[in-house]
Amino acid sequence: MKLFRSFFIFICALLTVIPASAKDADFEITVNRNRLAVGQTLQMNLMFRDSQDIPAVDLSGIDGFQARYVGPSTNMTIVNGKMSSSVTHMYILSAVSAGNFTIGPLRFEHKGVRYVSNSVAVTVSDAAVAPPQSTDSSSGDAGLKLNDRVFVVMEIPKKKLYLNEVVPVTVRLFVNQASIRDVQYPEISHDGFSLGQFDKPKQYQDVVGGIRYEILEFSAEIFGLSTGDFKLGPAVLHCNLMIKKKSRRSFSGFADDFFDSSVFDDFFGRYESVPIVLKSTEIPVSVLQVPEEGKPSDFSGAMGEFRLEVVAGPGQVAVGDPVTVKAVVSGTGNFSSVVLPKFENRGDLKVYDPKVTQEPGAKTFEQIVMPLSDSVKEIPAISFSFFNTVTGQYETLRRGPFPISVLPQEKQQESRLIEAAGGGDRQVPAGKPETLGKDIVFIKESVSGVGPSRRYAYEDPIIWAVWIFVTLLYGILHGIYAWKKRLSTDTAFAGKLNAPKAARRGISAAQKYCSAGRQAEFFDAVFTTMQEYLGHKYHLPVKGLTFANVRPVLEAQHVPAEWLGIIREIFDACDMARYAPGRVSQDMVKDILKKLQDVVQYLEKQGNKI
Amino acid sequence: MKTLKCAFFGITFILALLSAATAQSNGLTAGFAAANELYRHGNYTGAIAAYEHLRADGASGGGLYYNLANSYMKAGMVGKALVNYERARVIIPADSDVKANYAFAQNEAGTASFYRGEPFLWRWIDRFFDGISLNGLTVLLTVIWVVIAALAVCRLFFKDIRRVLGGFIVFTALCAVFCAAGLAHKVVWVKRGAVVIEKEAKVRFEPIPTATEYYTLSEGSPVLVLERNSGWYKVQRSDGKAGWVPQATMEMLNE
Repeated sequence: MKLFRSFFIFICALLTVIPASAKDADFEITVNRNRLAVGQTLQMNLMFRDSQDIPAVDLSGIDGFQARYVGPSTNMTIVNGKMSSSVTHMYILSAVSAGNFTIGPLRFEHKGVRYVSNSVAVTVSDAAVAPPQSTDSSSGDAGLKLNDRVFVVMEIPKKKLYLNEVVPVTVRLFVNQASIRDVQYPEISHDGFSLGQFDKPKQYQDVVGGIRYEILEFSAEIFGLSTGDFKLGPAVLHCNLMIKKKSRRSFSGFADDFFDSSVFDDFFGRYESVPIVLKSTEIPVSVLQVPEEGKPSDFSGAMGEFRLEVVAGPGQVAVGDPVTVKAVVSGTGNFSSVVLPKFENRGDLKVYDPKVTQEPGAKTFEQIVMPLSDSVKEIPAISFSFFNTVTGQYETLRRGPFPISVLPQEKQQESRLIEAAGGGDRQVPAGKPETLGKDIVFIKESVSGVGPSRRYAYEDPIIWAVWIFVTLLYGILHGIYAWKKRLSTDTAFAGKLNAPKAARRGISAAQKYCSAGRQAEFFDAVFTTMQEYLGHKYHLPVKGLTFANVRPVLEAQHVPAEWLGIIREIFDACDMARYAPGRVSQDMVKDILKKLQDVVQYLEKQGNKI
Repeated sequence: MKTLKCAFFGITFILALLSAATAQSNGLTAGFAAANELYRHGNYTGAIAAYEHLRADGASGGGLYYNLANSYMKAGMVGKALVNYERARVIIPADSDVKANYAFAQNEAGTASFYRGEPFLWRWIDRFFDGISLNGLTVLLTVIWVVIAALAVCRLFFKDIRRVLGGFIVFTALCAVFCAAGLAHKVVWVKRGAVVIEKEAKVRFEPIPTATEYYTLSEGSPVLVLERNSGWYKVQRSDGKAGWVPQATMEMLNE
């Protein structure tokens, strides 16, 4: 029984705990306008991140409005392999009564998860005094003027600064449903202040007053240069607003719909760029003098909130060995005025100038200190005073002194650093400190290289001859290469060159046959010579070349009829010798040979003239 | 017989030339050694005279100018020393002794080399070719030109590697342009460079003793000579400012 009771209590406790452990999640509501009149509508979106299966929420209970569900819109993105999704439910709310209403926070539960939204303020005015509702969708939020859609805000964290105190100044450009391009860095009127350079701007979205804005944020630092009351700003920002041009109406209703669509507007660039200047409000700022009361004697003007860390080492050194003291000042504030007091040279302590390096949020001072006697027991303390702008009080941070052990001179051979010839330092035993002498290097004893005066190489004719020879040689080789290339690619040209050679060969062979009385071979040689010569010269097929097919070419070359007749005679004589060898005489052979030589000579001369 | 006579006269002529050259060389060696001896004994004025005598006889060489410059340094004439160090640097620029003494002399005079005041590119070229003599740079440029011509010829006949050869040609052509710029730089300095040898030289707007003074050059300052006119030089300082000085206050490198 006892066991059953305990079990029952446990189950009851479990059941109460489970609902309490239901998860909570946020979702966001945004509206496209937050000022409207009775009877007008606004669009409200409910956006759920990392989920796509959230059903539409029942909004029937919203004061002052009638809600109508329009539909959902889902979105999925994959960035660096990570997938995220969201679903947005869209509603149209009609204002049924005038007044100031707050929509949300909306709450509902789905699959064990409680969803809670933000709230949005909406003002509904009477229909009689409501601003006219614009029907032009391109004007963005109906009821929101351009000033409410695009504006600049400048902010600083405090309006009372101390002299030299560094504070951040932020300028934000808010943009809602407008296209802004060519945004310039803001200019801030800053008389009495020193303004640093603006960092690269950040871009993000945020919901302000229930309206989602694209925000471009610029940050810089300022500090006051003199005490008094000043006005910082306004921040002025130049940019270009893209405005849709009024499109031309054509006579055809269909064409209107077709050509007036936004697709074509975007495609054909029917937006125009209008430069605008946005200004923020001024911010009154007072720059105060740091209080004199309680100012430490070593205060050098450092303003902010700082920490000091100091390390000195090595802890055991010999006389004359360096000890490095590294002090790091970190925090927030005006680092340009952070100065640490230097150690001073003493009889037993040699000090070198500190090396100062600065990085964002920290400034490092490295100073070398050299004990000159074994009586030195410690490196003196370092103190740093600053004015804490948060607490409004002076603070002094003190670190050290730093104990060190300095070995006496007798127990440690003195050494000194000298610069070796190859760079790098060597420790060598040293005697008395020395001063190196300086003088010129001795003369050259050897007479080599000394001789009668000669001209310089660039004046030497041999060098110029080499240059000219090499250039000419390349020119010749290039010419030969170009010539050979032309002969191999330009067959007409090659043929023209080969024609006289072929003619000379043929005439020589014909002469031999003529002298030997071999008429058949003679006329064969003459015929072949005529074919090869005329074929190569006029770029005609050699095989099968006859007077009939070469005549038009010769006439085109303005060969006189007389010479055409001679060429025809030669061809006819060759035909006759082939078909009626009995009618050929030796006189005829000699005559044909002479005519062949004359024809070749004449055509060559004519070719050169042309 | 005739051939024998020609051969005999030819050989005699060659021998005469050789012996003249040898005699000259022996005279030069002896003169150089004597001048060195004077220097060794601290007689710097005598050493200067001996070295200048050798120069007047037509001798030259990096060692001669170097020793002459040293003698002038010892004698306290920094300007004359610098002009002779400049002459030595034209011939043996990579010599460490010349470099060291030249730097020492510049330090004594408080001057720098002429091209210090030039635009960055010329300074860079000057520094790049600092260790190469004028003759060396000429030979280098010639070799590069031969290489370019050889590559261009190969490109004509080796079609498979035309592109590669084309790339090499472009690269060597750029090297040639670079070397040519360096050579031109050195030639300009050799032909027109000068150094102030007086304690100071007043540069005037006109080649007239009473003309307005423009600026003053100290001993050892390097300049470029632009013109000559009746005992005056028109000189240009490294920053480009030009004016007239009496010739006697300067000594040109090619004198």
